[in-house]
Amino acid sequence: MGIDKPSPNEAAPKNPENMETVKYKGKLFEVISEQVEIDGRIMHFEKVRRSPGVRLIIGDGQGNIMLTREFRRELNKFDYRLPGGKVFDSLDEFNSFKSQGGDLMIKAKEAAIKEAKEETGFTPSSLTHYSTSQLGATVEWDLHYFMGTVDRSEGKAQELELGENIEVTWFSEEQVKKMILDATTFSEERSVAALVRFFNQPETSHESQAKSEGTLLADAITERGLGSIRLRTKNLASLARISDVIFVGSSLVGKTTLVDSVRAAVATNPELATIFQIPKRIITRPERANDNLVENTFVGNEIFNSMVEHGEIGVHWVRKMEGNRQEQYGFLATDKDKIPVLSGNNAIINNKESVSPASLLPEALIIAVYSPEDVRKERMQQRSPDLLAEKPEEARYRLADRAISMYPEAHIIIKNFGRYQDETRDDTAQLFALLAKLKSK
Amino acid sequence: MPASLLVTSYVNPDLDGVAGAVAYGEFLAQTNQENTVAFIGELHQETKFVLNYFSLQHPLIIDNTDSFDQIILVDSSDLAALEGHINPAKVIEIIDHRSLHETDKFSNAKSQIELVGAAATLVAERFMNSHIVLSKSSAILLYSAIISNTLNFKGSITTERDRFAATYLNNIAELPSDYWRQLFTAKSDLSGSKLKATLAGDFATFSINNNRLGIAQVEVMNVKQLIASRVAEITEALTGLQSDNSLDFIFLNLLDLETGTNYLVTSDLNTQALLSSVFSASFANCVALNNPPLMRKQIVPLIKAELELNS
Repeated sequence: MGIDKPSPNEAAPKNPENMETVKYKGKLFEVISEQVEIDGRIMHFEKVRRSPGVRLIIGDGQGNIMLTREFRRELNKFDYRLPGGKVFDSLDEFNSFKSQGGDLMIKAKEAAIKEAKEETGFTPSSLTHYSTSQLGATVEWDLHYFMGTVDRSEGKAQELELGENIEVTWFSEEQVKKMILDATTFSEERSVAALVRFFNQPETSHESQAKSEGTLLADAITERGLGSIRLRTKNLASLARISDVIFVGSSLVGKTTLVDSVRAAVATNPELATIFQIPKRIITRPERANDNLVENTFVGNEIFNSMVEHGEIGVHWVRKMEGNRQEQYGFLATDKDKIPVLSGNNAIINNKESVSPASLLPEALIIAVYSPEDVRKERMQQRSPDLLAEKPEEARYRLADRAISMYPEAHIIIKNFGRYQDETRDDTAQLFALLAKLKSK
Repeated sequence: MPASLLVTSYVNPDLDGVAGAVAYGEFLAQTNQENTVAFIGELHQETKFVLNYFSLQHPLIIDNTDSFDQIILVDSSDLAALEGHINPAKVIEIIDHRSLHETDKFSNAKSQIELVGAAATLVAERFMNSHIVLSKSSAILLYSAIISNTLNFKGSITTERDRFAATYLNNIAELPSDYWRQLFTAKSDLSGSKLKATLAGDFATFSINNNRLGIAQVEVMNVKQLIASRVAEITEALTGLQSDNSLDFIFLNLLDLETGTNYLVTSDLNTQALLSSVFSASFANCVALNNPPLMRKQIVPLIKAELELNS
């Protein structure tokens, strides 16, 4: 019919002066012939035009992305898609908008917010334009991709049109990456391309945000697979820097044994010795039979206070005991460039105000050692028979001091009972090796 | 290429089915058995609540199981509930907790059917008896399933194993002790068209001696208010389900989540007669109180016995 195709190197110039003749116009599509002058020759290019659409890449801030599951008439089956819709209700609206010189991006963003609200029940507080997909030279049907985040607890009812059957679903990035590779699961190929690019761009993937030291440690531990260790990943994520390590746990959970294993590891491994230091603990309670004198020194209150004043004691806090009794806990000051490993107790969390210096806790890796109550009782009977006999109140207090109260704050939990008990020493040593590796980078 | 394995539950699975399958899929993946967890149909409202509340990933929904060579069923062991979507020959394993099951129809499956309160308990036990660490999201799902199925441990199907598993799970999930309230409140939203949808969503049919029986089950807070105001809607929806499914008997097994009270609701006179004789229940305005409270899975064997006795 005498219509020349443009050569590959010459896209038809989009010159507003080019004449367009409408060959056919329907509600959604129009077929036009564009008259273009190139090198003195008049050429005609035929193309199809459709009003543009929007697609939304919405995250929940927890690593999940929203997809909609919709029954598609043209496929006669359900399909997972990105939520979205038209920018204009008709081609006429689109054409008149263009002729009035409107800003398409603003209009597209408005449409995106509206579609989100109606189709999914969620209104993103802000949307950023991510990309625009152009279909080709002869078919003009732009899809504008926008990205944003919503709070999943703020979803409202959908406002669907007659015949629309759309369900909102959320999948992790990993899962979406798998789903878009399967054409029977996710059929809109332009969105597959947009998502593939989205996932491969460092600044749009949430994995690329600078990881806190806590998260880096968590990743290393997960990779190593230490069975008796449980990670509190949320807490670890907010631990930006690790400057000290504190073991906590009720009496008789086995803290001392584990700190001993760290002490042994540091003693035998010079690399670890350059990073960690395990200072002696100073306590103001009377010595008991079976007390660990390697770990602790027992002094009276006046001596303790004087040591604090003279800077001999670096870290200290107060532990409230039964009745009005109090004990002071402190550690000998450590070298500035080393990470102190402290054996604390629940008071460090339950009596935070008494902890000195104030900078200790925000950068502390808190390792909670856990054993169930019956195991602890058994250990008490073996270890301190004189306590049960002579001071039943204190015994009761120590047993009642349950581990559960400190769980919310801990970053790592070591299960020291039953079948885990055999692994805890090794796992703890490995944990410190991983932490040393992390800190020496 | 290794055989592709699907871990799933019955069609339109409830929270127990979803939780059990998702967690078991995780267990298998940790023991190097690649698998896909996916479901057919729609998730119950309660399941969607848990997923959204904790920002968990939704499970994949599929239309058919054709692309899978092997299937593992969790919380499902009878063919009817699979609605023809699953080829029983492909099923290699079944984990379930109901007494009426058809494991003989699954010739290639090894099955673990134990009468605890939830399939979630059986899956949790797999983790407990191994060195495998359970993810927090799976722990949340399994714990929610146990709370839901056992009606916060008040239902008579509750066993010590369910309580023990729940303790283990909540050690990881760390949910507050009043979590059950939020879960049950979400479950109880029957506003507007949700009533009909919920009835149809947890509706099971059984064929016993050429009798077709349909039982809907709904567990909500504040059942008294529901009965006081919406019985007509319920019986209308039931009548619709009865004719759609060509049923001889149909009723709703209604349970109050907070008090545990159990009501049977039906306008069909044949069903009222049947239930009166099995449970000594007396119907007034289509509603009868059932004491002691029973779950559908406990009711079915009793009705089965009655129908077989009278055949």
